[in-house]
Amino acid sequence: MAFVSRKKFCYFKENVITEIDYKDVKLLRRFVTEQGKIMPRRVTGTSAKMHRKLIRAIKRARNIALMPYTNLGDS
Amino acid sequence: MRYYETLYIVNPDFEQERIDNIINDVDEQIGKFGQVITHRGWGKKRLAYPIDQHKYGTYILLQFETENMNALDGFDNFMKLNNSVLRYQNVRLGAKPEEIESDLLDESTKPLEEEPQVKDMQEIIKEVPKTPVEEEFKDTDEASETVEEETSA
Repeated sequence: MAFVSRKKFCYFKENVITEIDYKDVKLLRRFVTEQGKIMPRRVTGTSAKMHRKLIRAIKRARNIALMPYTNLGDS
Repeated sequence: MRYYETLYIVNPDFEQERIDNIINDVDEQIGKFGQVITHRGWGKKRLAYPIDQHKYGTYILLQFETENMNALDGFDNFMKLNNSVLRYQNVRLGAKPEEIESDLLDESTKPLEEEPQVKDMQEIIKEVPKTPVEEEFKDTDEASETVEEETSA
């Protein structure tokens, strides 16, 4: 009973998104933990192809200070 | 023809005049080897982490096209040596950039203007102290009386 399986789906395939823009921080936030780490594919259910693009977008956003590299404490 | 996009951060303390000068400088630099498509400010935003002890930064978005790939090194160098640019990032675009969605810009600039919520909170606080405090005291008094009666009996 404790384990409830729920079907994972790729957010980008559901919404027919083919390109991920690194400036769209609101979207990227969904795929990052509170600490700022990129969530694994097994958690988010993102397809492999889109996950690669997602990672690139998040890293670009980090480089230009739109997203944090780490988010420890109150910083 | 290849399309590129550069997002760079400028010192937030600069006035509009100085920012315009920087934009003109960059425009000039691009003009040597390519064509500017869009070049505009993206607003002052809080940085996700401090850069050179700046908590905020003025973002400027530049999109351009060029055929001369070798000239990009020169442009990189120019941005690197430009002291008023805190950070820049040059990205190659797969296709010709369309008009930037204004939604993106609006959402990113909103967080700086979030203040009217405070007024609502103050109204709530005014309403709260109506709860009857005296009645509670009466209850406790009665309770203590009954206890005494029980003990005396």
